[in-house]
Parts: sequence; C-alpha cells; structure tokens
Amino acid sequence: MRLWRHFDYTLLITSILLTVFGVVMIFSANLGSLDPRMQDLWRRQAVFGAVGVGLIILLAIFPRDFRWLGDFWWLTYLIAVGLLVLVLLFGQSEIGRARRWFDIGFMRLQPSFLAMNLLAISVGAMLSRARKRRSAAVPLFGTPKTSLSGAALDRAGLSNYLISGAMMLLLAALVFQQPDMGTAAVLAAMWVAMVLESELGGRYIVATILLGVGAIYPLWRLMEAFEFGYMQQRVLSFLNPGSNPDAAYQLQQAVIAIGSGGLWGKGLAQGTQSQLRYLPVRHTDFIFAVTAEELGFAGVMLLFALYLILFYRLLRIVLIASDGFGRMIAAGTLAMILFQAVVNIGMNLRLLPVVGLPLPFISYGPAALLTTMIGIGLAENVVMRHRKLEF
Amino acid sequence: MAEGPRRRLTLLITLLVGCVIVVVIQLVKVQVVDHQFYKNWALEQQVRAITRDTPPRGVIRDRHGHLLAGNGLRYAVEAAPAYVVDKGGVAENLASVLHMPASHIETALSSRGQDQQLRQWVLLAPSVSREVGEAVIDLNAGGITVRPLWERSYPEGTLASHALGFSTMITGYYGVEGYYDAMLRPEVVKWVGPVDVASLPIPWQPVAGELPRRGVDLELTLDRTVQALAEEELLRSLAEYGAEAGTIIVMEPDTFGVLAIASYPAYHPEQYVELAGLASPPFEDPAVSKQYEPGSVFKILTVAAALDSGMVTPQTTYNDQGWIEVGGQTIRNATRQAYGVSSVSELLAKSLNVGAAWLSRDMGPDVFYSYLKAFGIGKRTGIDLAGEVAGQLWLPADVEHWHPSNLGTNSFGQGVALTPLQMAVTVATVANDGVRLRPHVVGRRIGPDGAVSVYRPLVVERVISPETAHDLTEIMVRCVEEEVTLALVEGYRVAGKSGTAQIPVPGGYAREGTIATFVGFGPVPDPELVILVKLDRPQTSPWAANTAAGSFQRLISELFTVLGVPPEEGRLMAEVGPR
Repeated sequence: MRLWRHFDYTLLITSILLTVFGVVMIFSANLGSLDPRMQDLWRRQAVFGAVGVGLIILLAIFPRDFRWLGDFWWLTYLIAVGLLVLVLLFGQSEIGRARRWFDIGFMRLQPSFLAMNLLAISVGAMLSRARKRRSAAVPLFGTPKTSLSGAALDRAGLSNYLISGAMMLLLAALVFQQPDMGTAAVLAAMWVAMVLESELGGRYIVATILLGVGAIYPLWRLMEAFEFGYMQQRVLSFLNPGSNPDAAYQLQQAVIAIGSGGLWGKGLAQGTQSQLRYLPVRHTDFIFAVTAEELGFAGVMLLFALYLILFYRLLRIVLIASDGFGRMIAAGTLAMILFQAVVNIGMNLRLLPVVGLPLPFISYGPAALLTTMIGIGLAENVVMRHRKLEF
Repeated sequence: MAEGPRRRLTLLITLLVGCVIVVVIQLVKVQVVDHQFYKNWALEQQVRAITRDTPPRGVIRDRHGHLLAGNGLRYAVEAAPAYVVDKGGVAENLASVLHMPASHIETALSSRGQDQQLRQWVLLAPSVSREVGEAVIDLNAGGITVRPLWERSYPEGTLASHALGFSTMITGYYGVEGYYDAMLRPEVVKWVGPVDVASLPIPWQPVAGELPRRGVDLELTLDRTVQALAEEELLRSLAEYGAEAGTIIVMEPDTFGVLAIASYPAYHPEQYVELAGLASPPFEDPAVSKQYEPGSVFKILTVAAALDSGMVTPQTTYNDQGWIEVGGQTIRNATRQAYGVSSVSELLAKSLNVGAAWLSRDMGPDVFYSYLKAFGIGKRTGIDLAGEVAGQLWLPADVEHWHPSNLGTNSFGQGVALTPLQMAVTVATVANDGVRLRPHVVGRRIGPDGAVSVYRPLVVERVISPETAHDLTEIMVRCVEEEVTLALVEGYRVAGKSGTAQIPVPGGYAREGTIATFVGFGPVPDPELVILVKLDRPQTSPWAANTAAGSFQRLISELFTVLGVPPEEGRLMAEVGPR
C-alpha cells in the first residue's frame, strides 16, 4: 500500500482528539440539564464521531482518486441545489417557519451542511479548471497512467471566476432563505478562500474584496425584505446590547462564564455558569464558554493548539496538493472549519454578533460533525496523492 | 507551485494568525486581566434571596378547639415548556384534568419569548383544588410541575364571619384576621445563598439555615355553639319582627371575653373576591365599626352616675310633670305623659326622659361627663378586632359642637353615638361590680413552638362602686320584672333595660323606624352572661320592649341551659312548682 505512506496521520489523530474533546465538553455542559435526554447527548456525539472517523478513512481511499470527483462537479452541484430546494419545500425545524432539516430517523439530515462539502468539490472544480481532456479516461480503480499537470490545462480566467461566484451565490441564497445567515456566510467565505488559492490573477482578489464590502448594505436590506427580523436583531443586539435583552442576556452569561473561568478554570463539571444553567444552549452555540469556564485559559490554549495543528496540516495540503483542484478542496475545507471556529469563538467572546454557527468538532450536532469529517476525509484523499516531486 | 498562490497562502496564514491574535488578546483580557471582575459577577448573580416553602398561616379556633379558620392545600400548575416533549398529548391530558380547553394549554406550552426560544416557565393554573393537583401529579408528564400553596378555608361557612374577617393568600383583613394579621402570618424567610438559574438552591450544596416558622394559632373566647345560637336567634328575630339588620353580642361579665358576636348581614369569608366587587361590601362589623344613637338604654349610665356620685339613692323621688327644660330645650317623656312623684328606681324602669334629664341637669356637666368618660364612651374599647370605631361624645369643652341642651338629651341617649359593643361593655361593667375591663375575643395564643400564652383580663378602671353596681342591678331587675316582662326568664333573675332609639337624620329625627336595643345580664346576683340585642327598624312594633326583649329572653334562656347555669332554687320551686 504505497498510498498510505502519504496518509496524514497527524490530521486524523488531531481530528479524533478534537472530537473526544468535544464529547467530553458536551458531557459536562449538559450534566446540569434537567432533561435526561440532554444529559445523554454526549453518547450520540461519540457514536457519530466514530462514524465520522470511518468516513475519513473511507473517503481517503474511495474514490481512489479525488480528481475523479472533479469530472462530476456538475452532478455534485445539482445534488446540493436539489437538496436545498427540497428542504425549503419539505424541511422542518424547531423554530416556527424556518426550514432546516429532514428527519431521516437516526439523524437530522441538514442539507446546508452537506452543501459546504458539495461546494468545495463543485466550485473547487470550476475554479481549478480541473476538467480533463476526454482522451485521458481515468479508471475507477487503480492509479491513472498519466499525471495531470496544471500546465496541460487552460489557465483559469474571468469565466471561471464569474461562474463559480454565481454557483456559490445560488447555494448561499437558498441557505439564506431557510433562513440561515451563518451557513450562507460560511459558503461565501469558502468561495473567497478558494478564489484566493486559485490560479486567478490578483485583480480578482481585489474585486472580491470590493464586492464583499459593497454587498453589506444590500444584504442588510435583504434581511428586512425577507422578514428575517431576528437576524437584524442579533446584529443590532450586538451593536447595542440594550435593544434585545434576551440575546444580550445570552452573550452576557457567556462572557461571565469565560471571565470567571480564569487561568486554570473551575474544573470539569464544576463550572457554576454551566452547571447552574445560567448559560443557554451550552452544548451547541456556547460550548466554547463552557470550555473556557471549566478548563480556563489553559484549556482553551490546549483547544487552540489542536486547532492550529489541524489548520497547519490542512495548509500543508493546500501547499503540496498535486494540482489546483486538490488545492481547492483543501482550501475550501480549511476555510469551512476556520470560519466557523472564528465566528463561534468571536460570538462567545462578544467580538461578533450571535450567529448560530457551531464550533467545529466541539459543538453538539451530528450533521455538523459529519460534514467536518467529510471535509477532512477529502483532504486526506488529496494529500495521499500529492506529488512528491514538489518537495 | 506558482509564485502568486504561494504568496496568497501567506495571506491566508496571516489572516489565520491575525484571527488567533485578536481572539487570544480578548481571551487574556476577559480571563486573566478582568478575571476577578467576572468571577464576582458570576457569584453575585448566583447568590440570591429566595423565598423557600411558605408554611401555613396560623389557624383560628373557638374556645373549645373547634376550627373556625384553617388552611386548605391547593396547587398551582406550572410548566417548563422546553421539557414538554409531546405538547399536544400533554395538553390533551391536562385539559381533561384541569377542565380547560386543550388548545389553550397547547398555546401556552408553545409560546415563545422575544428570542424565539420557548419560555422557561409558564403558569397554567394559579390555584386548583387538592384533588385536581394530585391528578396532575399522577399524569406524570415531563415538564409539568405542581407547586403546593395554602389557601384560607373557613369550615363553618358564614359563622362568626364578622369576628373572623377573611384572609387572602397573604394578608388578613377585618376581624381577628385583620387585627392579628402580623401574628397569624407565617414567617417568610428569605434564604440567601447560591441558586441556579431557576432560583432553586443548588443540589450539591446542603442548605443551611432555619426553616421558616408557621403562623401563631389563636384560640378565641368565642364559643362555636353560643355563636351559632346567637346567629340563629338573630335571624329568627329579624324574620319575626321584620327588622332589616341586627347585632347580638354575648359577653362574660367577669372577664369581658366575647362568647358570641353576630351581625346580619353576614358573609362567607371564602367568597371575599366576589363580595369585594359589590357596591357596599359587607365586610365591616356592625358590632364594632358602626355607631348609632342608643336611646333609652343609655339611661343606665345616667342613673349609674347619679347613684355613684351620691346625688340620689334608688328611693329618691322627684315630681315628674311630663316636661323639663334643659339648656333652653324642653324635654318630654316618650309617652308624652306626666308620671307625678316617681322614684329613681321607677324612672329607669319606666324609662322616663324627664327624670333622666333631671338627673343629668342636677349632676351638672362635670360629674355627668366624667362618668360617661369613665364608662369609655367616645373612646375605643380596645377590643382585638380590626376596624373598631370610637363613637361620638361631644364634651362641654368643645364649644363648637356642645350645647347646654346636650346635657339633657345625652341623659336618655340622644346626641351621643355608641357602637353596640360599647353599650355591651357598659352593662358588663355594671354586671362586673362596677369594674370595666377591656373586651377581647382571643383567649389563648399557641406559638409555632407550642408555647401557649393565655390572655389575662385587663382592668381599665373602676367606674362605679360595688354598692352602686348592686343598686343599679336591682333597679334593672325590677325593670324586667315590672315593665319589660317579655324579658323574664323562668327560674332566673335577670337584669335588663330596653331602648327604643329614633334614627337621626340631618336636622332632626326620622318619623318612621326605630332602632330597638335590649341589653341585660343574668343570673342575678352572680351574672354569667351579658347580652345585647340590637334590631334595626323592626316592623311589628316600634318598641324594643316588644321585640329585642323577646330575642334577649329566648337567647339567654337557651344559653343558661346549654352552658349549664343553675337556676335559682327558690324561684324554680315557687314558679315552676305550682304548674
């Protein structure tokens, strides 16, 4: 098995450690919960964590070559659009009119999460122009006979940029419609990161940044038009804590939890903010606050260390990927995890408004965890097939 | 790899490092620099003063321990909607138990706050009966909780309602409930300590501190049986004589303890909410909170003053010519007749206005009013019932209100206002050899620790000498025996005096309607009961001697039997024997 030589064990082990960290924190966060079903959620997260590790290994070896996926970028994109449309039509949620997921028995299938993986593949393919000439058919199993170098392909240009942007915007709009502002923002961030790492010229980067700044006001109006008043409220509440006492209360409790944790924390399952239920949605949005309260600054640094190893390994893959498409997948996955982590931690620390994004690996949520694991699996697939010559 | 993307990778790394730096700076600020601030904040919000389970209000019993006011266990039904899984099913089950529409309950369970989250707590029913509450417990529905609470109950219904008053879940009003509210109330202990977000003491920390004490129990001097008989007699008298309202007071003359205090209209204390909505709620006790001009019964005071001051003896005579002038006002007898040479004894027995005015005029205002004040006229008796009023007595010093003619009219109970209780206390003073005590309704207090404190009769002052009291008693006995024979009790000597009062209206007195009072005691010479009967506007006869005297006679005979007061031996033989 020559392939396994390049399997990134550090990435796998770091992912497993982060998942275990999350399971422990979910156990602690819900220990004081009045509902016994909540107290048992950590088991469920652990089971899905194990499934996720299986997925990483599965994706690393099958399909044998990630480039094969690039041929089907239009199919992956259609699946993403189809699922998001379906969920808008038939989806469910805990909150009123929102449509977030399908109940498929053992878990809630949340298309907006899967859309992140599908975006990394389809938009990544579009940006890297990984379309091969028809002559070089790749067998389903076995190593392709000819390697595909970037030089053999057309350089990506304006059309790639515009089409990929439109693809992202459609997915983001569908997710936004659910409504789910946070995930829509993740999709946008992934696209920006992929553009950044693509072969596109520097002017595209500048254009992207200008577009992003210019979109703020229309987006704000859009929130009004679609009656997603609560999204605006969250932002307003962040800017002016008096305007929405409920959201302000949550943020306040989070920062009290973090601050009172101090350098060494109050000890696992000893956090008064968490165990006495002052902190809301402890096992999902505010699990960082639980961690900071119970394990302190030291514990958070441990978490950050694990994240940094993970990001480093993903950056390494971006760097050594055999071609543009592989780089896109790694960059997309990196952006997906990084953006969610930054937004979630920023919210916990009152640096950013309340946006319902999970802390990757740590927050409870099977769909989110599996999506993260799929991303890691795809990255593993890329790194296993990197060209040694590059180094 | 191309040079451009590699540089951009540096950009991505810079962005990542930038994020980490910002986050770590904020973390250091919050967790390390401001740690103490947030730590204190966390502690501060966790330590709260909370009210733990409230013990019941003190109960009220009669002198024999029969419960008059107790506490019923009821439940408040509450829900934590987030923990109600099957909202429709739970609402369905609750609806049948609570007799509320299921849709209403489901709406409450699904309501959301401003942040789109389910509410932490909703109140489904503020107070349900014990049976319903236990049925809710039996449903065993997750997220649905019941909280026990105490509600005041009055097992005897309307009995002694005016003496008891009523109590809400917290505060007592009127009667004993109002007067002793602070004592009856359970102690509400604010427990200060760490609590969770729902204000419950945290489970792993043992709760120190003492439990709140329950309220003090009260045992009244009231006798449930005597009270019931008095109320029965009152209702009978109202029906028989066509009176619209009335009061009966029964007291022990040696202690001034009230055995019964009944007024009509009465009410059911548990219905205070509905009653409070009426135009004139029936809560004020007419026996202590309403004053009236008593009329001729007041002559007892005039004669007492004249005898005790040494001005006259029972045998002293005067010439009743049918009128007398006092302070420029001519006073006539109620019958408009002249009675000729009459004794003081006859004066009271026949209730002669002219004679009474002669006594007060010759006594002079100083002596007359000093005796009235000694009897407590114009001042609260100090009874332990809420809302007692003082009555109205104008004194000569008050030049604006007092006129020399008052001296005459006051002598037979006009131009002076008393509560029925003040009149009963005056006669009880005569029955108690001239010593006035403070009337009371609470006989014993039983503290939450079981400690009993007994009420000791409190002497206010000696008003008249024992000799005067004795002479006056004999005159009052003669009054019953010779004039108000309706009040005669077989086998017992009773003393008494009737009074028919006109009802004052602006500028004079009403032509129609009187207030009939009879006040008496027995058996003489060792009285055990003082009874006052007051009937408003009786229709069958304007004269108290024909109405209230009959009520007095029936009630006191019944009470002598019920309480086992032995009859006078000779009399029993003499009067019962020959039949």
